[in-house]
Amino acid sequence: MKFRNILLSAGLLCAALTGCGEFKSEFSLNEKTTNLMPEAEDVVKEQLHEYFGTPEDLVGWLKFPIDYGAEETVTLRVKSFEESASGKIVLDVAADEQADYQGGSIKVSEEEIYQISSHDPSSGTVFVKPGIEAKLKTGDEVTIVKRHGGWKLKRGRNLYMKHCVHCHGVSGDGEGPTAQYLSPLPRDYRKGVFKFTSTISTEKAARRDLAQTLYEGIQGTSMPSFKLKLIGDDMEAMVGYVRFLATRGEFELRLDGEFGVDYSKDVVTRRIKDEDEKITRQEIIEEFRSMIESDLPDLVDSTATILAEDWERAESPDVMVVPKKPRPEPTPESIARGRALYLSKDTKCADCHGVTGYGDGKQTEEYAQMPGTTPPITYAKPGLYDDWGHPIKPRNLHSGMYRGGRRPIDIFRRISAGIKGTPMPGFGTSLNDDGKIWDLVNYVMSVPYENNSSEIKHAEKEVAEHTVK
Amino acid sequence: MRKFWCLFFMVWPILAIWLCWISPSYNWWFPGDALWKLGEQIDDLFYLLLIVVTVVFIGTQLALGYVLWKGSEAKTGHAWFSHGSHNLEVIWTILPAIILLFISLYQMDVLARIRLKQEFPEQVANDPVAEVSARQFEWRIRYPAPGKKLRALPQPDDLYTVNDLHIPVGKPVMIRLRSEDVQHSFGLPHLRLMQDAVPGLVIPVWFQSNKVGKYEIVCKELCGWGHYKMQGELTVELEEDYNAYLQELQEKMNDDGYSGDPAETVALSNED
Repeated sequence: MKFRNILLSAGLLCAALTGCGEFKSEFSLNEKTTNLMPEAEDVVKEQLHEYFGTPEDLVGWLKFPIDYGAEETVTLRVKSFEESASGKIVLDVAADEQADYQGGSIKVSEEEIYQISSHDPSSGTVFVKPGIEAKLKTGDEVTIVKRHGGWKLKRGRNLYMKHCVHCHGVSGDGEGPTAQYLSPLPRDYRKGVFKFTSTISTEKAARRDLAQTLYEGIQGTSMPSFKLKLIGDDMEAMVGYVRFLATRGEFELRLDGEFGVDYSKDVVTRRIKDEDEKITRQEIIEEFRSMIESDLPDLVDSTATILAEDWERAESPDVMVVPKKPRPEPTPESIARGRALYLSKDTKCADCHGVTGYGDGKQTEEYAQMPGTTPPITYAKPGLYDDWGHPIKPRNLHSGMYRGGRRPIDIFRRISAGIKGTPMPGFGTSLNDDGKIWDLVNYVMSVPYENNSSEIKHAEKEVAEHTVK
Repeated sequence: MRKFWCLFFMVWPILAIWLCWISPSYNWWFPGDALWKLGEQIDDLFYLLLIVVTVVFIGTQLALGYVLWKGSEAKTGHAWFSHGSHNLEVIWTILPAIILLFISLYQMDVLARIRLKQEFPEQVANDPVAEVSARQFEWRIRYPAPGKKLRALPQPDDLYTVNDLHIPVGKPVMIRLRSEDVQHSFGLPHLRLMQDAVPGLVIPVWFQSNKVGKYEIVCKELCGWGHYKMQGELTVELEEDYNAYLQELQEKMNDDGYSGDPAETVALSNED
């Protein structure tokens, strides 16, 4: 009896500990990649691995002309070195003003690199693990690697895994474990599209836009503010990693698009069945192989270059939405002009946002067409859909919530550049008059307060008024 | 073996008391001194309760140890069986009742000063500095425009920020506490203050900090999976810094992104 009890508790202990094994996170593949024929899927997989690596072993900074943090080194002289302790080196840090070597490593020669385990900035003492085997003398020069190549990406990855991964997922697909409880759903970065940007409608999001979203959060969604969590370089690193995931997703999508035309599972089956073409599976595979041999290096190179250029161009001041006129005072006249524009045929705002601004325009009752379907297929349910295929509601302008920020410039940018990936178009080119856009902004910003003067019943109870009698 | 179990059960209460005793020196105790008078009174109440509980804890544990030790020496294998004692029942009902009644009466004054609106300092009773809306998982804050009073309904010139509450030092302030989704709790550990935020209610909360600094705002009610990261910052600053902060926030809220046309500015300066 006793023996059985011991056995039982040992068994339970084993069961409890099995969950504690080493966990390896992996980038998952897009549905479009898994729909390719296996040979094509393997090529996409290899290229992704080569250009982006795995979450544990990132390589992006070696492949893209994007600043993912360059290696920072400093050469210092050894003050003293205790052979007995082996791990302790005192350095002459007078030459380095910012002597912070935490997390860095020490390079004695090309082959001998030691991780710095702890460091005292004031005395210049550095401890390494394991102990240094090389003989060091006072006055010897050593190189301290303060920051490793790609440090932004690595730090961003660590922060992402801590704060973001449970919603946005390891590969940025918006399918983390907590995503299923959220409405609206977390952003899927893999299209490279971000909604709230300060760039014109045809350009990608700039670093500052992602930073603003991280800093302020998005009211009305489950995206909270991370302003207290991201300190110093963290924000830059975080934004860098999100862009990296977006680039990876887009790179994959572009290759899928390239191969999907002829080599997706469906197409291959159709081609084999097609009696005019008279082709066997083996021949298709050979055709694909020869295509890969001749075209692949150019294809991936140009894809990578295009992506890097696209992201870099978003940073340029030329594509930033900057009003040419200052915001006019929100006078009744300006608001009335904005209202007239809102209802006009030029903007058709009311089609989605409704005549009264409650987000109940006639488009919300109509069946939208799925993009890229010929002949057109409509969604099963009426209403508007975003580029990710999720139903989306036009903003109720009375709510007083502005997801992309509530400053006048934020709303100006929403109207001028639109909201990317959604049916909200940009009016910067079509209206081509910043004065008109400002009138619209003034109108939109006045809507939540339309009823403020009238007596409306507030849904919330003022506790104090009910307790004090 | 009987003695072993007796000692085994005595080790734990001793360990617990020892842990409590050493925890202040390891900084596992209060986060610094309370920053205002009521906070100190709350600390006093806490210590009073701690003393009462410690006395009872030590008493009961000693009694338990005594009984165990006695029992381990008993030679017969028979237990003594009782149908209950009327006197004992009366004693251990009345004694705790007296203690509880004493505590509840003793703390009433402090509770009233924190919770009841007629006890609020006069200058803040009807003049909230900000509205704090708890939301999964952040604190959204609405200030009135500088020089204006906060109204119940949002106004066009209100100032908004997130996780960042500023108050002037050394004077009482009152906030309107709301929740946008589920139940949260607005906790200021440095001020020993906490108040639940309940959906559908607007709850006035007043407090004061006599020391300038940055302190934590934490959520003290398990509100969902992101509860742990629902953290804000309370900045207590001098009156002029506070006004400057609001001014700066107002400029940010009114930002229209227009910096003046550089070409035009050059032309103007050339004319001069």
